Amino acid sequence: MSRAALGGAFLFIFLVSSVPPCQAQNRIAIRGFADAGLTIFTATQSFDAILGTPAGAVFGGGVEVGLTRNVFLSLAASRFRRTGQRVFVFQNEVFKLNEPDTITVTPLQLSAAYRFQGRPNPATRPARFTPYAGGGIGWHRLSETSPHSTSDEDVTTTHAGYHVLAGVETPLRRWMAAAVDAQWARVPNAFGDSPASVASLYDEHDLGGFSLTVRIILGQ
Amino acid sequence: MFLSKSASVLTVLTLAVGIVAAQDSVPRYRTFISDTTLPGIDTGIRDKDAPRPPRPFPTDVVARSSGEPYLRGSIAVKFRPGTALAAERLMMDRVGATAMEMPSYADFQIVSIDENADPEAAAATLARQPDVEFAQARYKIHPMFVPNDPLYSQQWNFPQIDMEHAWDLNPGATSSIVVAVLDSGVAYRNAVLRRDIPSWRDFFGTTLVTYPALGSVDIPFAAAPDLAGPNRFVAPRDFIWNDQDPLDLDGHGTHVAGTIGQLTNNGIGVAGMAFNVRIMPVKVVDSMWDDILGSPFEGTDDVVARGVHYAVDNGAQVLNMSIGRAGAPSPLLQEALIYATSHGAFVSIAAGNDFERGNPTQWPAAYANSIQGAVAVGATGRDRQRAYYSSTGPYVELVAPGGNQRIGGTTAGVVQQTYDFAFTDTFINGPARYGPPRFDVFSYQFLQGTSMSTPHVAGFAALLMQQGITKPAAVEAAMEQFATDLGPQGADQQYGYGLINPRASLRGLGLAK
Repeated sequence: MSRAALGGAFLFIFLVSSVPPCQAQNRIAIRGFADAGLTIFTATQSFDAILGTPAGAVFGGGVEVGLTRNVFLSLAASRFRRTGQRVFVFQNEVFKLNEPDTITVTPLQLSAAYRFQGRPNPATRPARFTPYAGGGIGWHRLSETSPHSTSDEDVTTTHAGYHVLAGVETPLRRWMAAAVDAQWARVPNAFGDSPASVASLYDEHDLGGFSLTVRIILGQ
Repeated sequence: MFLSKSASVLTVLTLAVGIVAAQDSVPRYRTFISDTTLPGIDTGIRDKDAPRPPRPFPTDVVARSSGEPYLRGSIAVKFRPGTALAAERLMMDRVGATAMEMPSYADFQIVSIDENADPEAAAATLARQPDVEFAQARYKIHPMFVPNDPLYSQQWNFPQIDMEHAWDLNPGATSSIVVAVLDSGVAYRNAVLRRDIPSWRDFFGTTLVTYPALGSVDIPFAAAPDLAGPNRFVAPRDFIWNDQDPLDLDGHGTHVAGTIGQLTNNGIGVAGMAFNVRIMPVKVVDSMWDDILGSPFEGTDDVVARGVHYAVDNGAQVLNMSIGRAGAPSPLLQEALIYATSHGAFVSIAAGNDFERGNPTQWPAAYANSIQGAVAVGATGRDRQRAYYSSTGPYVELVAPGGNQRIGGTTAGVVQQTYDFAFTDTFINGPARYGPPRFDVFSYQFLQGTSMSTPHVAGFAALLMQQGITKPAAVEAAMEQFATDLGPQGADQQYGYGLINPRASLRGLGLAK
């Protein structure tokens, strides 16, 4: 495991182990969620060259397990998929080639987070917005394919990384909440060293990036 | 005195015709009596032909047999902008110049000097003048192939550079790409030329013999069946006969054009690299028959430079120059190459066939490595090794299949459709079997030379431009970056950056692979 992934694992274990053994909450709460948002890749130049933009929509979903009133774990999967064109770069000028190039990034992320909320007080109204923060580890599957590529030329690799996250959640209904979630992920050494790679050309190696998503959460 | 009405009309008409004729200052040196003949005859593949003796080099021995590498009686000069006419005349006087003219598609002057004067010395005298940008003798340019006579299965050259997979990515470009073939012409149309063929003298073996006059002869031409198609040819131009009919009187240009764009998947003959492009035939080198028929011009540096300007000005994005020469450098050609590449045209140039003749520096190839967008191309044989004849030097940038018949025999040449030489080279067996030529009989000939490797790169450039790499310098970079390194590691003087790899270049760069 890479040093980065190890760091993420330590953060995850710290958050989980920080749960006090006896909490007021008697049962584990499980919620499901779906999210949609925008991700901006750290490898800005490389994605921009191929896709014409370093950013794109992501869609995903997952489950969240509330271990205590404040600490929860989540397992999320998301998907970024966009088709651009293969390129040739000469003296910083990008020539788009008549060969489509489809890039799919599918992160599977395990996170632990702390929800900043006090004990319920019947005398006061519950807080309208609940912030949270945390981190975790992830496995990011990268797929790159072109219509005329051979199986040797196609790319399908999975790389470990880590991430930190923060967000704010607000209840919508008794069984429904919404959240805005910001996340920064790092997935080092994800692009290899192929000479036919814009990532090598631009000396970019990180498949991670910054994501901002809107999440709809079902469950109590 | 009053003229009658009809006489007046006649006079006015005569004057008008005279004025129009005077305005049309371009003289015509030949007349075609018909534009229609029977279709070209295809005599098939010539893989069993006995090897033919190489043609004399240089080829223009008829009536111009000085053996000197340049034309006598004139030099090419470019004055610096703003030079006064009086100053120009003063300088002309220094070399005994008698006349000066600027030909079409040229930014230089052709200066007439005494026939007995040394053109190189005269050019050197002028070149020393501060108002002269350059001056040079009119060096003769020759086709780059090694003439030797020794279908797709016969085209080892395309599998060698993995063209089947490259065509997956780009199936032969489109008609939006125009490739100019600066060569001996192209068999691009049907015609009949009536011409009086005089007697002439040449060496047959070691004996100087006289070839008899053939009188008035109708010479048939046909478009090469496997090359010609609807809207295939664009802006044809002949700088040897100074007209719009660059018919090939040799076969070299037709063979070269075939490697660039032979019709493919048409059920006949052989394939070409970029089989959907349009071909611009630009005739800038003369052949034996041009000489015998008395063409007014020869293939010299200035003629080639004008051909380059013409091709670029008329929309060619790729220029193929399977031509060149050894000897003195040519600022004319250097400028022409810079003009081409700076106006968006990629130029593919033969590196030369003189490795075993002392490996002299070849021009204009030697300019290519200092001009982004112009590439000097060496040749490989079927064994992927440098062909024995392929010139080497720091200017060689890439290699492509050119054939090596010394190792693989006749079929180790590059096969394309061109004339059946039995019907064109009637002079090859001496005066007894000499007769009028026919340029309407075709066969598939295996030829070798950097002339044959160069059109692979020109066709490749056409594919890259169609694929999206529109700048000549970037085309060159894409070729070199993905070339298969041969010989010593890295760029070297035999193979340059290596053997062209069209599929890799056409595929370019992905995010990760």
